[in-house]
Amino acid sequence: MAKIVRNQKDFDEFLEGYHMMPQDYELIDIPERFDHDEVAPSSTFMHDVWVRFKSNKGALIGATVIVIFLILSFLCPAVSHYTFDGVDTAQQSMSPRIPGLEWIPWFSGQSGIVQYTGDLAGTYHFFGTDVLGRDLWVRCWEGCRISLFVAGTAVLVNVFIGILYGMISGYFGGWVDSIMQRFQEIVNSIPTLVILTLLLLVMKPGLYTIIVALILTEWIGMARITRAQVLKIKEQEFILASRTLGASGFFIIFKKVLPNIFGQIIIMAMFSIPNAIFYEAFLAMVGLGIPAPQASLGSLINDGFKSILVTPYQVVIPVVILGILMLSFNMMADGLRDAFDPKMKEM
Amino acid sequence: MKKFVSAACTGLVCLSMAACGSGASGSGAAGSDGGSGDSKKRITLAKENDVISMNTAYATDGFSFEMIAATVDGLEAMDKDGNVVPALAESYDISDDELTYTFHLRDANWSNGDPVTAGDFVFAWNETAKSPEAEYAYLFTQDGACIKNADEIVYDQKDTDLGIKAVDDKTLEVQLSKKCPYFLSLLTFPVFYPINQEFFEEQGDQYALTPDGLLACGPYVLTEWTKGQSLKLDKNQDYWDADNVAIDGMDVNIVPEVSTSALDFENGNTDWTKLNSTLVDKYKDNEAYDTFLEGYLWYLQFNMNNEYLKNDNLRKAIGTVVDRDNLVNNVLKDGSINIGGFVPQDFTTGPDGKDYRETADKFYTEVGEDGLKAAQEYWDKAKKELGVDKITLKMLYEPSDPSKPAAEFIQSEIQKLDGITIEMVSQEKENRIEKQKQGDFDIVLTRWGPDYADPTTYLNLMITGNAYNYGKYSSEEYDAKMKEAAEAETPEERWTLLQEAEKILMEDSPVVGIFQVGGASLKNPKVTGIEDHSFGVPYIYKNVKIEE
Amino acid sequence: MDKSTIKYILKRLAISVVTLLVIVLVLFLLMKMMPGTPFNDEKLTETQKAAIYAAYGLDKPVLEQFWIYICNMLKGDFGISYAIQRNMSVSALVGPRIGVSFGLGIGAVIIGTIFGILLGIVAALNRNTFWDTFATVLSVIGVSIPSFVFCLLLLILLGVQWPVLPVLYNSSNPLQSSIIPMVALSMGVIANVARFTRSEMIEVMGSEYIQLAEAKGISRRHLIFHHAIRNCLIPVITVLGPIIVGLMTGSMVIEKICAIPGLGSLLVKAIEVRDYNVILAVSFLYSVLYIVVMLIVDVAYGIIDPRIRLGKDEA
Repeated sequence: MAKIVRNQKDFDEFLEGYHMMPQDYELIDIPERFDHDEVAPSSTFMHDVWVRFKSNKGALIGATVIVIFLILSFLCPAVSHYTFDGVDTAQQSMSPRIPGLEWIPWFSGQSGIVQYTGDLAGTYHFFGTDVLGRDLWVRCWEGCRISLFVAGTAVLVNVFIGILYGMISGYFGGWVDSIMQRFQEIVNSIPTLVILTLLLLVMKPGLYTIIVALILTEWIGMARITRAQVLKIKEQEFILASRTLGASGFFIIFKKVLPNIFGQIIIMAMFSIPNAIFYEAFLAMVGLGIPAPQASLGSLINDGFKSILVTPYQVVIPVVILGILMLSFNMMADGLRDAFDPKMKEM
Repeated sequence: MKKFVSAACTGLVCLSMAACGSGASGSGAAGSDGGSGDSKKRITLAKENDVISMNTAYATDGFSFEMIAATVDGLEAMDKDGNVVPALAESYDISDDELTYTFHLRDANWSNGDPVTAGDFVFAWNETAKSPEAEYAYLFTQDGACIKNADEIVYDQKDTDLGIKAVDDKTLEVQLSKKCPYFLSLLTFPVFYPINQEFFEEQGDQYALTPDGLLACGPYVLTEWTKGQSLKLDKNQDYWDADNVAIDGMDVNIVPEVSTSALDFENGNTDWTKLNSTLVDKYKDNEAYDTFLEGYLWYLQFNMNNEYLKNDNLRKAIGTVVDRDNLVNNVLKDGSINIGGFVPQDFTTGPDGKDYRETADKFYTEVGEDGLKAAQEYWDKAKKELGVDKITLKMLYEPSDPSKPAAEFIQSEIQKLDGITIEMVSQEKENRIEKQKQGDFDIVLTRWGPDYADPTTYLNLMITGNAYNYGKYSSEEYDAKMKEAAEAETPEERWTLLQEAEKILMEDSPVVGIFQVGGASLKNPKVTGIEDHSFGVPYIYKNVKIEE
Repeated sequence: MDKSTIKYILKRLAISVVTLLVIVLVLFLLMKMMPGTPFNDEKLTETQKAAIYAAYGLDKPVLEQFWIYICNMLKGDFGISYAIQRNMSVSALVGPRIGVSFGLGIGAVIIGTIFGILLGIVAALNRNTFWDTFATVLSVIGVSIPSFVFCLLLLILLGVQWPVLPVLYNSSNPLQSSIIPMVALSMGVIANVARFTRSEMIEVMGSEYIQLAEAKGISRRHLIFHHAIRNCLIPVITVLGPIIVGLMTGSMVIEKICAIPGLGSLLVKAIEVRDYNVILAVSFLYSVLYIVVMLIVDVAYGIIDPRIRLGKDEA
C-alpha cells in the first residue's frame, strides 16, 4: 500500500511502522530534518476578505469616517441643549460660529441675518441656524441619521430584491427573462411621480413611506446591473463546467454566479446609498418627504437651497456632509471590492 | 469609439439646429434693454406660471386674469386704489329698485377693426354661463353677480338666456334677480369681459389658444406666446385710451424658480419679479424692494366633530397661542400682516368709506408673553372641562410657501402649551382640499381668496350647511345674524350687522385668522404704475410708465 | 447587422407595442385612482363639477374612457389639456417641448459620457496615483452636489458675476442658453460613467488576453485603444440606458431653475394639477423612449461584444 509522505510527521510514522528486512535495502542516511513547506493555518474566505480589507488604507479611513458620522449623528442631538425642532425666531438665520475657530471667517458668525450680539453674544451655533431659528448642528446630525437609516434600509431591501430578480432573469434567460424584463419595463416606464402620488393615498407621509417609495422605484437599477453581470458570467467556461457536472440552476446561481458578481453589487449598493439620499430629497420636493419638523440631509439641502442667495451656508453644510459621507462610502466600497475580488490586486 | 463620438456630435448639432429652426422667431434682445428704453420702451416681467387660458370663460388664475385684462377691457375697471372706474362703459344708470343696470358703451374697436358692441357682452356672458366647462360661471349666479336666470342656467342646465340684452349697439341692459351691492366691482372680473362673436365662431376650437386666435380691445395686443416660456405684448395702437398707454409693450418670461428670476433681475434683464420670504432678507434694503397685500387670508379651521376641538376653550387656546406678529415679521417677512379675524384688510370699504377692518373689532391681538399667558389660561380651563392632560391633534397643511413655514411655526407655537402634541400632515393643495371635503382633519391651515369686494365672501362660508364649512360649524345665532344682515334696510345697518356676525364667529372660534398674505417683489425703480389689487385682477398694467 | 439581429429587433418591436398598450392601460387605471381632479378650484360646487365631467366625458366608465382614448390615440389625437393650457390639444402642448428636453438630455449625456469615459480610463490606467484620486474626488463631487445646487452656482458665476451666458433659457438661442443646464446635468453622468469605466477598465486590463497581447509586445497605445476600451464599454452602455431615461425625468428640477419649457417640468405640473391627458401623453412618451433606449442598448451590446448573441435566448 502506497503511502504519501507529506511532512515530517508522516515520515516519522512511516519510520515507526516500517520494519526493515535485511533483504530490503540499507539506509545510508537518515535525514535529521525533513525539508518542508510551512503549514499555513487554514483560513476562511471571509477571513481573507477581512485581512485584505484591513490592509487597504482608504477603505479603513472610509469606514472610520462612516462610523464617526454614525456616532455623531446619535450623540450630537442627544447632548446638545438645542433640539432639532426648537423654533426660536429671535435666532433665525445665524451663521456658523464655533468656539476657538472664530478666527476663520466661515465660523466667525458674522455673515448671518441675526448677529451674535446683545443677549446672543454668548451663544454658539456650530453650523448656524435656519430660517426658523433652529440649530443646524443638531438638525444636520439628526438628518444625517435619518438619511442613513432610510438609505441603508432601502438599499438593503433593494439589493435583496434586485439580486434575486436579476439573477433569475439573467441566468435562466428564454421566456423567463422575457416576461421578467417586460414586467420590469412596464414598472420602469410608469413615471415615479405617478406611483408616488398613489402611494400617498394609501400611506401617510413619513419615514416608512419614503423607504417603501425608494424600494418601489429603485430596485430596478439593481436588477439590471445584476442581470447584465450574470449575462457576462454565464457564458464563461467555469459555469459550463459546473453545468456539465450536473449542478442545478439554483446551485450555480448562488454558489457560482453570486460570488463572482458580488463586487459589482457592492459597488452598486454603495453608490445607491447616496442616490437614495438624493431621491429622498426629491421626494421632499413633491411633498412625500420627511414631514416637518423632522429633518433629513435631503430636506435640509432642499430647504437650504431656497435661501442659497442669502445664506449659502444653509445648503453648503449639508452638501459637504453628504459629500464626505459619499466619499467614505466610495472608499469603503473600493476596499470591499478589492477584498472580495483579490485578482484585481494583481495589477 | 471615434465613430461613436463623431456620431454623437453630429446628433447634437442636428438637434440644436432643429431646435433653432422650430423656435426661432422670438426677439432675443427684447429683454436685454432692461426697460431703460433706448428707442423702444418695454418692460420685462418674470412670472412663476404660464397663462392657463386667454379665454375669459376658462381663466381662473391670477396671471390669466392679468393678461386678459391687459388685452381686453371690461365694462368697468379698477383704478390703483381699488375704486371702480369706467372702462368700455362710459356711463351707467341704475333703476330705483337696483335690479336693472343700463350701460352706455363708448366707441371702441377690436384689433381687427370691428366695433365693440353691446352684443359682444350679451354673447360672451351667455356663452360662459351656458358652457358647463366654465368654472367661474358661478359668478353670474346668486353666489356672485345675481344676474337674472343665471342660477337656472348654471346649476339646473335650463335652456334659457341670461337677463342681459343689447338695447342697441351701444346700450346694454342687465337685470338682476336680487339686489347686489357689489355688482359694479364684480364687472372688473375678466369673466364679464366681451367676446367678438363673429371672430369666436370663425376660430372655433382654436379660439384664444394662440395670439392669432385672439382679438384685443384693451391697452395691449398679445403678439407672441411660447407656451411655458414667454409672452410678448405690444401696445394696441387702436385702443380707445391709447394716449394714456405710455410704454411700447411688455415681455413676460415664465420663470418657475424665484431665485433665478432674482438673478436675472440683478443682471438687469428683468424689471419685475416676485420674491419669497428667504430672499427678502437679501433685498429688503434695496430700493427695488416692494411689498403689497394680497387678498388671500390664511386661517386655521377646526373640525368641530373632533372630541377635543368641540371645546371652546381649547380652540381659543390654540387661536391665542400663535404669535402672529412674530410669524409675519420674522418668519414670513414678505409683507404679510397679522389678521386675527375672519375678514382680511384692504379689499372692502364700508358705506362710511372706511376699510372694513378699520371699524371692526380686532381679535386675537395678544402677542408675545401676554398671548402665551392668556392661551395657558384657556388651555387650563379646557383641560379641566375635557378631563384630559395630554392630547394629540393632527394639523393638515400644504408643503408650499407660505403655508409650510407658517405651519411649522404654528406647530411649535401650539406645542408651547404643555400636553398638546401636533402631528403634521403634509398634503399637496389638491389633496388637502380633498381631505378637507371628507372632514379628514383635526386642524387645517387653509386659505380663502375673495370673490368680490364684500365681507360676505368670507362670512358666508361659516353659515350652517355651506359647502366650504368643512369643520361643520353650526351656530343658530350666527346664521340668524347673517340672515338679518342680508335683509338689512340700509348699507350702514348691514355693515354693522356683518361686523357683529364676525364677532359672534370669533367668540366661537371655529376658524381663526392667522395672516393675510403679502407679496414681496423686486421692481425696477424706474418702472412705475404696476397697480396691484387684493381681489379680481391681481395686477393691472395699463398705466405702466418708465421714467427716464 | 446579420439576419438574426434584424429578426430579433423586429420581434422586440412587436413585444414593445404590446408592452406599450399594457402601460397605457395601467397608467389609465392608476390615474383614475389618483385623488383629486383637474378642476380643483376650491370654489367649484359639486353640481358644476359633475357638469364639467360630463362635458369632457370623464363620467363614463373607466374602460369605455380607455377605449375612446386608445381609438383617438391611434388617430394621433391625445386629447386636450384640462388644466395647464385649457382646451389646448395635448400634442400641440407637448410637441414643442420634446425637442427642448431631448436636446438638453442628449447634450448632457454626450458631455457626460465623453468626459466620464476619459476620466475613468485615465484613472484606471494610472491606478493609485494622483490622477486616480483626482478622478475619484471629481466623481464624488459630481454625485454629491445636487445638480440643482450646481446649476444655480453656475448661474451665479457665469450669468451674474461674469455675465457670459444668459440666466434664462431662450428659445431663440437654445444652444447658448442650454450650456449651463447641460453642464449641470452632465455632472451626475460624468461621475457614474467614470466610476463604471474605471472599474471595468481595471478588470479588463487584468484579464489574460490583455496580458497575452502585452506579452506579444503590442504597443500600449494599440493595446488600450484596440483591445481594452472596446471591452470595458459594455457595462458603460448598461448604465447609460437608465441614465438617459433618468435624465429625461431627472431634468425637471433643472428645467424649473433655468426656466426651460421641457417635458419634465410639464409632467410635474400636470401631476400637480391632475391634467389627465397631459400626464398620459408625457408618460407614454417616456415609456416609448425607455423601451427604445433599452432596445438600442441591447442591440449595441451585441455589436460591441459579439459573444452576447442576440435572439439566442429568445429563440
